[in-house]
Formats: sequence, C-alpha cells, structure tokens
Amino acid sequence: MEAILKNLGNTVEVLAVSQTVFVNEWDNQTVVRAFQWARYCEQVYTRFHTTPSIRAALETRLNQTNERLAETFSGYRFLTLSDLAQCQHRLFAGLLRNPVVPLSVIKSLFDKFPSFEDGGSPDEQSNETDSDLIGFIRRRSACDILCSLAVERKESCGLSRASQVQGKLLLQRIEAVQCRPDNDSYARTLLDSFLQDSGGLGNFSEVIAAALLSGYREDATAQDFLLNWLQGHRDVLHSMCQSLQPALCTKLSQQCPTFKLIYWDSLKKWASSLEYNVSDQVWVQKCSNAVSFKSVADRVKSLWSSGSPLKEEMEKDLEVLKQTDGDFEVHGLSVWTDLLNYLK
Amino acid sequence: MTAPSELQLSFWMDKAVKWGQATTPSAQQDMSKHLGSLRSFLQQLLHTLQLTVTSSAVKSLPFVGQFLGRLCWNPYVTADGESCSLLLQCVCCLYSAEPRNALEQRANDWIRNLLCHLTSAEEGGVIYALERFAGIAPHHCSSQALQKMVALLTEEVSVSCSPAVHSLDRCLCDSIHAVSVACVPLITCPEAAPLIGALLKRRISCGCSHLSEEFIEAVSTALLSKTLVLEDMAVIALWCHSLSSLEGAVLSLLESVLSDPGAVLQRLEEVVSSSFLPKASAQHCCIFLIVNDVFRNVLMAMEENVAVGALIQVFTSCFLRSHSAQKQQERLPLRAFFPHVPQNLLTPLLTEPSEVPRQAWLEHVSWIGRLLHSMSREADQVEEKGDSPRALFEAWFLLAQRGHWVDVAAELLVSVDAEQSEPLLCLLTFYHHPTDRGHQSSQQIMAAREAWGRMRILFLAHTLPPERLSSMNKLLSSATSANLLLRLLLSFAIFCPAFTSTAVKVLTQAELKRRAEWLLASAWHRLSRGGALDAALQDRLRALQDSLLPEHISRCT
Repeated sequence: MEAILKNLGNTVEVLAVSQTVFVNEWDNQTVVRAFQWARYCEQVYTRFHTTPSIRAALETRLNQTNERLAETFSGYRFLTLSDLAQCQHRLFAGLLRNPVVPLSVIKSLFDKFPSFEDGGSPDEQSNETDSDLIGFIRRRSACDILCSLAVERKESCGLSRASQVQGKLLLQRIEAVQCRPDNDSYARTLLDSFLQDSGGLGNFSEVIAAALLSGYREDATAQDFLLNWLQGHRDVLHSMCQSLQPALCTKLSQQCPTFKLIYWDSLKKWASSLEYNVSDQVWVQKCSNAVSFKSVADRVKSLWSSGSPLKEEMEKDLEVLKQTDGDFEVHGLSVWTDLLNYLK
Repeated sequence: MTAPSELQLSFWMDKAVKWGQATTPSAQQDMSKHLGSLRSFLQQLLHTLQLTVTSSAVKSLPFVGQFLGRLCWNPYVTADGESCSLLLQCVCCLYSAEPRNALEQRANDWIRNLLCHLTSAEEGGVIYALERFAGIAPHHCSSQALQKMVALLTEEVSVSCSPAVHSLDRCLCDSIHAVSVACVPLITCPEAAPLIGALLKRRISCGCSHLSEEFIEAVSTALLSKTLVLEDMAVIALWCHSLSSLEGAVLSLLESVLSDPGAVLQRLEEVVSSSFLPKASAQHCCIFLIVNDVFRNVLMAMEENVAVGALIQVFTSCFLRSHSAQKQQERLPLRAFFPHVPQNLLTPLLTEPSEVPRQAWLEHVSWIGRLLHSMSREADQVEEKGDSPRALFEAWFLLAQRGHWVDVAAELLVSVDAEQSEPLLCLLTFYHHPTDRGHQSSQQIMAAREAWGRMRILFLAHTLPPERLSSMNKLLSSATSANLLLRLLLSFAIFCPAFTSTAVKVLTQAELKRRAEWLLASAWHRLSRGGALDAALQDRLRALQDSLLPEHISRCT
C-alpha cells in the first residue's frame, strides 16, 4: 500500500512539473515514462476509489502532496481525487499548453498521436484506435451531430438529448459509487463538486431533471439517492422551479412528490407576492427578476392540465386560498380568484 | 499525387465557409455528397504538406491554415474517422520542430491552441463538470455518452409509424431522412451501428420513410469492406430497399471467388455462408430471384467457368439448407423460388443425392437425363418457329445450380454398361453444351460416348502404356468439350478401384490443372457431405490433388 501511495505522490509531482518551466529539460523518453506513470495512476484510481479506507489514504497522501507542491510552485492548482481518473489527459493538455515544453517533445506527441492506453476500466476491452485522441474527437463530434437532430418525442418535454444523456451518465456514476453501501457520503461529495463545477444552476438543473425522469427501472435507487441529496439543496430545487420549462416541471411533479411540494409552494409564494396594478390592469411583482402573472399562471395551468391527482389537489388548495382572501369573484382583488378564472 | 491547385483550394475553402459548423440540414446534405471527394482532397493535401516546410506551404497554399481550422470545428467532418485523421495529420504537418521565422512560430502556437481546445471541454461547463464527476477518462466518457445518445435516437427511430394514429402525432418519416443524412459520417463508428440498423429496419415497417442515397451507398460499401457489422434483419432490410447494394454484394462474392480462386477453393462454403446471401435468400424470395438473375447474367457472359459453376452450386446448397431450417409456417414452398422450371424437373433435381438410396441413383439420374433430352428436342421445334427456348435455359440453369447430380452421373459412368450410359451421357453433354441443337447435339453425344469408351478401357486395364497416355492428352487438348472429358477423366481416376496417378499426368496444361483442382474440391465436398468419404477415397483424392501441384508447393489438407 505504501508503495502505491508513494507512486501516486510521484506521479502528481510529475504532473505538476509538466506545467512549470522545469519541463524544458524533458526529452521524449521522459514523456513516455510520464505517460506510463499517469496510466498507472488511473488504474490505481479505478481499482480503489470505491473502497472507503483506501480512498481515505489516497486522499490524505494527495493532500500532503498538494500542500508541498503549492509551497514549491506558485500558482499550483490543487488536484482532487477525481482528477486522477484523467491523469493521461491532463498530462497531455498540460504539455500542450505549457509554452516552455521543448518543441521536439511536442512534435513527438503529434507523431505518436497518443493512444491513451487503457488506464480507465480494467474489465473493458478497448483496442488502441478506440482510446486514441482521434477516436475521442470523432465520438464527441458524433454526439454533437446526433444532438442537433430535430426528431423529438413529446415525452421528452423539451429536454435536449444532450441533457438526457448527461442525466443517464449521472445516474450511472451514482450507481457505480453506491455499489458499496458505505459510500453515501462520497457520492454526496461528488454531487456537491459536480454542482460547483457546472458553472451555473441553469445547466445543472436540466441534467438533474433528466436524471430524475430517466425511465428505466434500473435507475431507481440512484434516482432515490439523488432526490435525497436534492432535499438538502433547496437552492437547486428552487432554481429548477424557476428555470425549467412548465411542461418539464409538471412531469417532475408527477414523478416526485418532493419536487411537487416544493414547486407548488414556490408557485403559491410567487402568486401571493404579486400586486395588482390598477392602471395597467395586471398583476405585477415589484422587484428586479419579476415574474409575471402570465408566467405563473401558465405554470399552474400546466400542472392543472396534467389531470388527476394533481388537478384535484390544486383545486382544493386554490379554493381554500380564495376563501381566505375574501372569496371575491371580481377581477383584480384576489390573485387566487384570477388564477382560478384563468384555469377554468 | 499532384499538389492541390489554387482552384481546388478555393473551391474547398468556399465549401468550408458555407458549411460552417454543420448545424443546418441543408449543410449536412451537401456535406454528405462531398465527403468522399473531401477525403481525397485531404489525402492530396497531406501528401503535399508532408513534403514541404511550413512557410513555403503557407506561401503556395494561402489560407490553408484557415481552411484546416474551419474543418476542425465542423463536427460532420470530424465525426468521420478517415477525414478526422487526415485533417489532424495535416495540421500536425504544419508544426515545425525548429521554427525559423515568426510565421512558423505563430503557426506552432495556433496548432497547440487548436489541439488543446479540440481535446478538452470548456471549463465551467456541464460537460467538463460531468467528466470530472464521472471518474473516468474523457475518452471513455465520450464513448459512453455516444452509446447513450445512439440508444436514445435508436428508440426514437424505432417508433413505428402507423397511419391510424391521431394526426397530432406527426409522422416522423420526414425527419428520418435528416437522421440518415446525419449518420453518413458515422457509418464506420462502431457505437453507431444500432442506429444504422434501426434506420434500415424502419423501411420495412413504414413504407414512407425515405433514407438518403448517400446513406444507402455508404452502408453498402462499408458492409462489403467489413468496416461495418449489422444485424441480419438490418442487412436484409438494406438489400430489400436498395437493388444496387444487393447486386453489389453478389458481385463482391463473385469477385472474391474469381480474383483469387486458389485461396477460396477449400473454403468455398465458408465464404458463401459468410456473405449472408443464402440465409437472406431463404427469408426473402425476391432476394433469391435477384441473386440468381445476377448469376444467370454472369454465366451467359462468361465462357464455361468451373469456379463460377462451383460457386453457384454451393450457394444453392447453402440456400436449401437455410430454407429447410426455417420454421414450417414461415417457409415459402420451393416452387416459389424456382418459378420458371417445370415441377417434374424441379423435384428430382432439388433432392439431395444423400436422400436417394445409392441403388436408385442410376434410375434417378437417368430419368433426369431423359427428361432433359426430351425438353431439348422440344426446344428444337420451338426454335424452328422462331421463339427462344426460355424453358430450356431455365432447366439448364437449374442443373447448374444442382451440379452435383452431374458429378453423380459422371461417377455412375465409371461402372455402368453401354446401354445404361445413354441418358447419363445425354445429361453430361447437355450440361456442358446447352446451346448445341439437333445435329450438333447428336455429334457431341457421340463424341462423348467414344471418349467414355476409351477411358473405360484405359482405366479397367491395369497398366497404362505411354502411347495411350499421349492419345488421351491429345484428345483433351484438342476437344471442344474439354471440361466434359476432364470431368469424366477425373471421375474415373477417383472411382476406379485400380488406377494410376499417372493418369493425371495427362493434364499438362495449367488451365486444365486449375479446372481439375476445382472439380476435385467439389468432389471432396460432395462426398464428405454425403458421408461417402471413406479412407481409401480420401487417400486417392489427396494423391490426385497433390499430383496437380507444382513440385515446390506443399499443401496441407
């Protein structure tokens, strides 16, 4: 075990050096060895990252190495455990970006057209052409083309194919991590990082929605876990309520009671914050980011049109609110009255 | 290979600009038509760039960097394996390990930047985040993403189009064309195979879906070169949909047999089976009829060719096997597959020799021989009236398809007497000389009878005087029915209990030797299938095959 940790530390150091000025002393042989170490690192990650005890040891060593390197090299960027899964790729990208790398080394990188020999999954059989750079670019382009095709089904509710695929990949990963029961906190940490890296709740929301709506029974435990995690992240839920399309939110409400409650609560809150502008004869919200009556009403309508049981629940709720507000029938006095009128 | 001209470069540059990032259906449609020629152009360009230094390359091919750069961001081009590889190689050619001026330095920086962006996802985006989250290397991630994407689309494409469905559920058939256009660069991508299969199969379930021509052609080519593997149903769908792809498959099979007969000789059945044509023919009558049409045309265009004859024979056997392996309720009666042949000829010829007891062979084959003889007489009368004897040609074609009955006739001729030999000789003569009529036909039969008589005497004696050998040689090389005599000769050589392999030394011409190899291979195949290949026969066959070889080659059988 100690040997593995030591090798890990060394590889991280090699990776760090590849991004500094000291790389100008490298020759082709060094590069080849560096890639071999990177591959080794990937294999270590793949084998051990789902085992909590070993993972802890790896993380400790990684942190120690990170600290040391931060002291030595200014501007050093800490490596996380997840980054180790992509060691070879990071090495390649780092070398390309570093202006100090000897040109002959770069040339040899091109000549080889690197095959990232399989460090990923020990049980996958991939031949060299699959794991090389060209294969990678090809497949990404293929995804791009297929993504942009117009054929879409009603069931997708406006979710792009890209989001649907990303949702499935998300669930797949959760399942892989959960293969050992004591990995729950690890899975949570991963989801937290994912959220952080996504650069905006908007994109993230779509992926989560797609994951929750993915139709296959095998995904059920992973979906439950995801919902569980979401309950601890109300900000994400609220963002989903706001940014996702009405039809999508309706579908989610039908599928997940938790989401339904939060969604309906948000809608009621928005509606109740609206004030009636007598001169324009509309309900408005007095703030930046204002929601309009129409947008709230459309969302409510979408929920309403989904039929029972949602429709009955909402009707009951709205009637109660209308009563409490004074049970007016005239337009412009109670937002609940107007909503009910819009719906009927 | 010549360097690309300025005209060419500006043509392709215009195209690259027009295509942009391949987001519109019309751009993709145009690209699907030009993918092949783009590949050739890139090959040409690469060849030139490999020979020149960057600064001179840029001088002679202005905008080459821009051109390559644009294409790198065109996913339609980069999704195609060959184009992607050529493109990136071109880019890397422009990299100078020792830049001598500012231009080359700038080019270097540009290339590194380009490659960096091509291979890494934008930081701060969902894809980057997902790759990190997924805990696998980017190339695995992209492979899995593509598989899932393909699965999604396959599902969408496989939704059947029913005209009874409510009009709001619009028929997706219009979009199927766009999907097929988009799939053209993906044909050789192994992950995309399920989608391609689904597109092809949709044609069967929904008559209005319309696949692009370029797609069909690309699939056809890829199947033949084995760079694409599809499931059986999809291949059948392709062949039913596109006549040219079916014909291409048959011609490809013919070519593989004719171009290198030696390599295929021992494994003819394997080669034919692996083409999937027999199995497909058993499932779809129209495929069988078209395949046979091609065979007919080939036979009519070529002179009597033993290799082609063997191929047709093996194909028909494989077909019959596939046919009988089908479930009773799915099976069409065999008559549907042979519409032009009278039933009284069809039944005996479709029977396997192994299904007929050996004692009954003589009668069985004699019956066929007599029937063919009378059909031939009828055809003479038809011809006198000026009509063409179609029925006779079909009868002959069927005999060609079931050629081992001809072999059986030759085998029987070793042991029968003069009276019994008559119908057998008629059959043999008819097989080898179907177009001879009336007087010519009788002459052929007479010649055959005489040759048979001489061989009989030759082989039943136990010694072979040299002058007999040379007269046999003369007979074979001069006769117009060399193949018939060859068949007889080999038959005697195989089935005569006492023979001398020196008999085969009669065959001195290389061409005769080649044909003899085919006939021996066919005999081996027939006998082993019929369970008649005992040790003695095996030894004799092997000895005959070996004696046909030139001295320096050894064969392992």
